[in-house]
Amino acid sequence: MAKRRFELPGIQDLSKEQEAARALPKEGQHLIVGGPGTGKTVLALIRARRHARDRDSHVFLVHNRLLHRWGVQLAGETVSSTTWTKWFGRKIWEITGQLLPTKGSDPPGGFQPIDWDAVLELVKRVGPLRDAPYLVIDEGQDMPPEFYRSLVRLGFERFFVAADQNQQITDAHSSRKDIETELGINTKDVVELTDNYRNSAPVAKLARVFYTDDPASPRPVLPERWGVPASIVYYPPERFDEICERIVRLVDRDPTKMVGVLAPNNYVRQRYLDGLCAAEGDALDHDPPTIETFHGDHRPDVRFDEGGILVINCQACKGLEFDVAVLADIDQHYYRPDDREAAMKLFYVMVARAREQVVLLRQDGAESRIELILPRDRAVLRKKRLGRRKAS
Amino acid sequence: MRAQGTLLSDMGRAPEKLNRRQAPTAGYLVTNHLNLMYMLGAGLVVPRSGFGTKYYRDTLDCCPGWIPLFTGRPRREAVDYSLVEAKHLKPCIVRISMKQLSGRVLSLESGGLQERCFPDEVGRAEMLFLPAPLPTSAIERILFRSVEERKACETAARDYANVPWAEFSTRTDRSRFSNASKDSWPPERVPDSREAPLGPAQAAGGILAMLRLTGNRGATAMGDQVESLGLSACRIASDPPPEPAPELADTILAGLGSWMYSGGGPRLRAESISDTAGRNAWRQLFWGAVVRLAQEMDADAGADTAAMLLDYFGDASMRMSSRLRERVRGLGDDLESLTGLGEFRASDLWRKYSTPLPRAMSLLFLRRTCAELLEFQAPELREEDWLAAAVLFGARSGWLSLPLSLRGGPAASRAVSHRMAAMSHRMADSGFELGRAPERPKPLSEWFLGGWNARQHSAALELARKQGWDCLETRVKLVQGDYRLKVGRGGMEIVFPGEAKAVKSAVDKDRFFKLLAETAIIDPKIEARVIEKLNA
Repeated sequence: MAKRRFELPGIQDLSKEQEAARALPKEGQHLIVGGPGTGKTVLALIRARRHARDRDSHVFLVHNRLLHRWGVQLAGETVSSTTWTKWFGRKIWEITGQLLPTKGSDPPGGFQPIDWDAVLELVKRVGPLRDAPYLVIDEGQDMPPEFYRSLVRLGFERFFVAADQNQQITDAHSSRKDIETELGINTKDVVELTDNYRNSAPVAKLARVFYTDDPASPRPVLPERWGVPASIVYYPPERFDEICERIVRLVDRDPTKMVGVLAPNNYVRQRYLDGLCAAEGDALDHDPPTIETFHGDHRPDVRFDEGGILVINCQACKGLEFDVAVLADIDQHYYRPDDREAAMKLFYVMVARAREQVVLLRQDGAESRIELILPRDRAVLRKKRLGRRKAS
Repeated sequence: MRAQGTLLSDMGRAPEKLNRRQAPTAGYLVTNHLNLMYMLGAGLVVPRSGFGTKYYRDTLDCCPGWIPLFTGRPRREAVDYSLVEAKHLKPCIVRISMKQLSGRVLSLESGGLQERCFPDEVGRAEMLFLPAPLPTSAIERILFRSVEERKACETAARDYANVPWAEFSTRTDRSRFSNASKDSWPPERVPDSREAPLGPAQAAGGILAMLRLTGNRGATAMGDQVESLGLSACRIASDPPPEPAPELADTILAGLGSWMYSGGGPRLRAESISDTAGRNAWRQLFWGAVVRLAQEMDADAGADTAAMLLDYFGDASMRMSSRLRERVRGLGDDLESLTGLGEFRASDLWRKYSTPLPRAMSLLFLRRTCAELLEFQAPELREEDWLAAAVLFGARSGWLSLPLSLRGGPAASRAVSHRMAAMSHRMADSGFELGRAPERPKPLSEWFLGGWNARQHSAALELARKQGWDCLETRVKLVQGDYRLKVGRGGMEIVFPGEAKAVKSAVDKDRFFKLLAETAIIDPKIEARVIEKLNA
C-alpha cells in the first residue's frame, strides 16, 4: 500500500509568521489563530514532536478520534496524543478519584454532556498539580471555556493552543476572546496566521465564498498554488455507479492520494460507501484502494498514512486534510434560510479540507435550496453535467 | 536602508600586486540563525534575493548580489542589525574559507571600495564583498555568542526536513561578538547590486540529486562492464563536457550537459523551438520545460508549475507545424484530464504515448514530490522515461526542497553545493573561481561497476545485510568427520568435531543489482557506511 507520511517542513516552507509561532518558548501560554490551511496543525505537531524528542511530559489534545488517529499516524508514535474528552475524564479520575460529572442524556442512553458547573466545583476542592505536563491543543475553539478554566485551576500552566473561530462546528465552543481570558493571554501576544499553505488557489477561492468574516480569525490570504478548478458535477441517478468508478480511478492514478468523500447524512454516506466498494472490481492499474468509513460505533483503524478513500459524515471532517475532497450529494444538505451562516460555515470547513481539488456532486433534478449559497461565478465553480445514459 | 556609494567612483587607483600570503584565508559573514539555516538548506551562501519572501534583514541587505565578509573583527552594529526584524532571532557569525577562491572581488579599505583580484591583489582589507553565491562547502565553522544560543539553534534545526546542521562545525565564541568593532553599519561605501542567477543553480542541484538516485534504476541492465544510461547521465550532469556527449546523443537527455553547464541558452528556449523533425522538437520542448521550471524557482511564485507548463506547451505549439501542434495540444488535454474525475488510468496514457516527454510529463502531473517519484514503480516505463522524469522533478523541486534523506549525505551535499555555485558564476560570467570541485556524487550502483574486488564485495555484503536483501548465500567448509544435525525451534544446527575451515558469504550479483534497482531510497547513513567501505 502506498505510504503517506507527515514530512517535517523545509526551512523555506514556514513563513515568517509561522516562524514566530514555532519560536515561542516552551513555557507559558500561547495562542495561535488562523484559518484552515494556515499551518496551525503543522505547528502544533512540530511542537508536540519537539516535546517528544526532548522527552518532556506532554500531551497533544485533539477534538475527536479521527483527528487523534490522523495525528498519531502522521506524527509518529512518540507523540502522546489523545482526544480531549478522554484525557480530561481520566485526569479528573486520577486527581479526584471521581468520574467526570455529566448531565443526564436526552433521550435516555444518548450523549451525556459534561456538567461543567460540577467539574469546576470538583477541581476547586483539589490543590494544583505538580509537574503538570505541557499541553498542545489543536482545534482549541472546539473545547468549551470551562475546560480551560478547569485546567488552570488544576495548575496547568504550559499551553500551546491552535484555534480558528471560523471553524466552529460544535455547540460547546470557545471564542478567541474566551481562550485569551481563560489562559490570561494578552491579545497582542496572540500569533495570527494569515497565509494559506494547504489549499490550491481554486480550492481557496471556493472556500472564501463561504467565509463568514469573523473578525476573531484573520481572513486567509489566497494562495497561488495551481490546482484543478473546483467543479460541481450534476449526475443523473442512473450514472451514480460511474461517479463511484471515477472516484476510485482518481486514487488508482496516484495511490498515495487521500480522497475524502464528505456526506451530508448517514444515508448518503452508506450509499457512497457501497457504491465505491462495488466499483473496486473494475480494471485498475494498482490494487484496489482502501475504502473506509468512520461513524458512530464503527471506528476502524483508518490509515491516514496511506492513500485511499475515506467516506465520512461532514460533521467529522474538521481538522482533517485530504488531497481531494468530494462533497457528496450536496442536494441532501438541510438548509434553513434563517440560518444561512450555519450552512456557509459547514461548506467552508468541508471545502477547506482539500489540498488540491474539490468536487461537489449533486443529483440532477433533485430539489434543493442549498444552491442558494453556491457561487455563480464559473471561474470559481465550474459546472459539469453528466448526460442521461442512452437506452441501449 | 541601502547606503549610498558606487564602485566606479572608487576605482581610480591601480591595484597593487601583493604577496599572496597577505590575503586573508577566511572571512566572517554576520547573519542570524534563520537566514543561516535557510542557506544551509539551500546548499549555497546566497545574497538576499536567494531567500524569497523569508529574508530577515542582516548584513547581506546592504549589497544585493554580493556576500559581505569581515576579514577580522565584525562590527557590533552589523550583529545588532542582523537581529532587528524579530525578537526570536539569534546572531551567528559564519567563518568561510577563502583558500580555494579566486577572482574579482570588492575590497573595503580605509573607507573606500576597491576592485581587486583575489587573492593576489588583496592585502589589508576590513571587508571583502565576494560575488554571490558561495558554496556552503566553504563554510568552516559557525560561531555563536553562547552555549544556550548554539543549542537552541541545534534544536530548531531539527524542526526542518532540509537543514543539514550536523554537517557543519559549530562553536561558541563569545569574544568574536564582544570584541566586535564599534564602527557603524552599513559601511559608507557599498557595492552596486549585481545579478546572481540562483534558480537554475537550485534546479541543477535538484537534478543532480535526482539523477544520482534514479541512476540505480538501470542497474539490472548494467552487467559487469557496461555503463547504463542513468550512470552516463549522472556523470555528464556532474561534470558537463564542453561538447555534447555521444552517450546521450540519441535520447531526450541530449541537452543535459549543455544545460548543466550554462543553465539554458538560446537554443533551448521555447521561442526557438524549431519546426524540425518531431523527435527533435520533443527534445527541445523538454529542455524548454526545464528552463521554465528553473526560471520559476527564481521568480519564487509558488508551485504553479503544472499550469505554467501547460501554458508553455500552448505557446510553444504555436510555432510548430499543424501536425505537431495538434499532438502537443492533445498531450496538454490528456495531462489535464489526469488530474480530475477523468475516466483514464495512467497506463492508458502510457500506452497512448511511448516517448519519454509525455511519459515524464504525466509523472509530473501524477506525483507531487521527488520521494513519491522515486518510490513509484510502473513496468510500462523505460529507464529513459524515468531519467527524463527525474530531471523534471529535480528542476521543479530544486536542491532546497529536497529532504536530507534524498541528498546523499555530507560528501554528496558538498559536491552538489560546489557545482551549483559554479554554475551560477558561469551563468553570470563573474570570472570568480571556486577552486577544485569535490568528487562528483555517484549513484550507488556505479560503485559496483566492473569485476568486484574485495572492497566491493565487502561493501555489497554490508549493503545487502543492512537492507535485508535476499541475495546472500553462505558456504561453510568443514573438515571430514561425523556431523550431527540438530533441529530446534530456533532453526537448525550442525555439530561436528573440530572447527569449520572457512565460512564464506557471497552475493548473488544479478539479484543484488535487481534489488538495488528496485530500492527507491536507501538510508543515507547506510549508504555512507557502504561508501566508506568502498573507499577504505
